[in-house]
Amino acid sequence: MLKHEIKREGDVLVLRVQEENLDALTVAESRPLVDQIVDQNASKVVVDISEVKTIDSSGVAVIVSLFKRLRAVGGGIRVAGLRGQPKEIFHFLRLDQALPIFDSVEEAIRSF
Amino acid sequence: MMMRFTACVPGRLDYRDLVGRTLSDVCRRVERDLHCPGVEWRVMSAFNEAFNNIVEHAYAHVPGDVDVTLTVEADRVVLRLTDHGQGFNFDDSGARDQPPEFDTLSEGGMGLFIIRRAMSEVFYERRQDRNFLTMIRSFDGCRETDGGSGVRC
Repeated sequence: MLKHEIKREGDVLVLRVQEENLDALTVAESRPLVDQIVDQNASKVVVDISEVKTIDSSGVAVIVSLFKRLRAVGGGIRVAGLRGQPKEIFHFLRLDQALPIFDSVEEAIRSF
Repeated sequence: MMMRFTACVPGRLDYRDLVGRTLSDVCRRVERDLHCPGVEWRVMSAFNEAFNNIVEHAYAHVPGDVDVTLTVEADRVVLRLTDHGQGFNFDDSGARDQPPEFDTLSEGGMGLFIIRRAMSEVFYERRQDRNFLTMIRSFDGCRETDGGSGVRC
């Protein structure tokens, strides 16, 4: 299970990923986590990946899955702390155009 | 500089990281010695995606081994992964020049696209029931400042 922390900042739910690698190894069986977030009826979610140094397509798929699940119920997602290799991968896939991305959690929360 | 690293490991994700740590160290050395930033994250991004594909697709039903070879040449890094699993049609597997559409993103399509974007050239070949994926990163604009290891393989 992905190491993480979930906390509330007002009406925003912040998911802090506590892994250096967000990849096929660490995201195995992450579906319950996505379910848990969606089941909390959170309409505003910030995914903080500032601790993530490496991401692969499996890690990207979890974030995209969460985005789509929340969008389907009228919610929204922000990605915070994107840098280094993950930033390059998001750029490759043009996810930096499809997802709202912010340097910090605070900026992401304020953007809702 | 000429350097070659080879390994044969089980096609399991925990072994991906075992080999990956050494590949990462080699690529960081290349970056330092050749003043060529960006080699490590590009090669490692491609390696991780290629290894994932082998584990999840080529060896989806029958496990097997993965041969990994990283060769550092004067003007490029050549990474080759070989497996004995199921083959695939590289040209029809999302390895396009354009990124996958957001609403139809799939891990497989994303992985091959990342490989193509991260590396300068990518070749896939199936021969004698084996899959060969060769990924090349050129050192465009970089220069060697010392004699390197002096090893000639």
